[in-house]
Amino acid sequence: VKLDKKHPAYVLGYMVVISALFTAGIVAVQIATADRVERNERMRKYRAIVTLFAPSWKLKGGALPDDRVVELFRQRIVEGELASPDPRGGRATIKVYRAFESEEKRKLTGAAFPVRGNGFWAPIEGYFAVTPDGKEALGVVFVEQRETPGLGGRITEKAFTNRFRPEWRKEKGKEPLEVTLPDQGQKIIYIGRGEPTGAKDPRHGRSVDAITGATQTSMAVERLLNQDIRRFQGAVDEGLRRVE
Amino acid sequence: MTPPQAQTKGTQALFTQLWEENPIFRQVLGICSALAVTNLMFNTLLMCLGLIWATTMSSVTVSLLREYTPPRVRMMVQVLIIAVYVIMVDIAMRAYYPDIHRVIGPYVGLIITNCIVMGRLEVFASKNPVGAAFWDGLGAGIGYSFVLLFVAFIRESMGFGSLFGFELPALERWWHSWTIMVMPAGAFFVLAIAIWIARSYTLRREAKAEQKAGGK
Repeated sequence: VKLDKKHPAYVLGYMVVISALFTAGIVAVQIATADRVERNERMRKYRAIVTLFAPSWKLKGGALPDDRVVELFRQRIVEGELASPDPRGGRATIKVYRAFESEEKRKLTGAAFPVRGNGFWAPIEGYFAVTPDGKEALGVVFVEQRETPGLGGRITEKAFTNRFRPEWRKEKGKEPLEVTLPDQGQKIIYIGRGEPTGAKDPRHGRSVDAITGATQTSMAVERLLNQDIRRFQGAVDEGLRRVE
Repeated sequence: MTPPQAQTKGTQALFTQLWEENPIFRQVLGICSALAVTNLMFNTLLMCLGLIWATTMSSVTVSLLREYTPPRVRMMVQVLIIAVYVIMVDIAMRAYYPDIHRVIGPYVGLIITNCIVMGRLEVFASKNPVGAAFWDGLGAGIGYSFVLLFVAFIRESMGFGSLFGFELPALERWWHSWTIMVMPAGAFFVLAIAIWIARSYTLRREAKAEQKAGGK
């Protein structure tokens, strides 16, 4: 039988068959990789949070194999939520990850919470960790960013994130980074705003060096950290202390 | 007279695409991704593998279906076929290379609208048997890839001082990284210079061949 390729019924039937066939192919690939994609997303979060607390646990976060990261997360991290009193944020709750010294969960190492905001090119996402009393920074890690590679993109590198860590700051002769709520009109932390001139300077104990050549990204990071740390501090009273 | 494209068969199609009809040098197609993904060699390599897969597989599929595809809807079918193969690459990359997928993900999706793929399907695969379409698709993919890898080689080594993420030896003694090579502007310069060199070489060769033919 000679098929008339111009007949509308043939064209319609052909399109239906072709679409169904190829869509089935995509669905098959999607199903085959779904578990792995989900696992990747989970691992990304686990690794980010374990990396934040690893130095306090005397471990090397970057070098840990996946299994160990999952084990540490399950044993020492407790996921929870804090009610956020900030109505402008539009978020009623803040996710908080409480980290403990050991599996017994007796002594708190600190707490981490997500930070998010607009970068120079695209949104930046990460986690920020504070000491159990919520007064000092323990570290920061960025998991999502599209900043300029080699410039702003370096916010994910240790050379930048170490500047928030107490042990690195101590080594460099700086005070730990304070993250308590400041006086009216001041920032919680300052990134690349020059060295503080003395103990009365609002930047004293709150200053972090920026990345050279990435002023816009540094300013964006300062803005998003200030916003989300402030929100966390507003919500922290009820949550963290109750666990302690 | 039959157009030269239709006469090209088998592996000859591969070599034509590699140099004489190179998608980037000669046809100046697929420039968007060439500029966007070439600051690191590994990212570029993954992008190139994705494009080679998309051009080859869609060429083969379009060629296989050429007798059955109604001419009126052939372009819709071609876009559907390209989209399917590209989405497969996208899903596989998200599953196995999530970090790189976050960086080049948007450009992988854009392979669907990459003129190289559509161009080869419309001009060659829809008119030629499967074998020739396979080599043509493969050639277009490889032709695109070697130019991109060349651009990435220059950009990563000059911009980051590394190759495939490995730092070049004793770099601090003789090199200060050029930030412009990391930025999109760097790609414009490198690609333009590469096209310039390749085209002047080809033009000179063609002029010589013509002179020889005229002298006879």
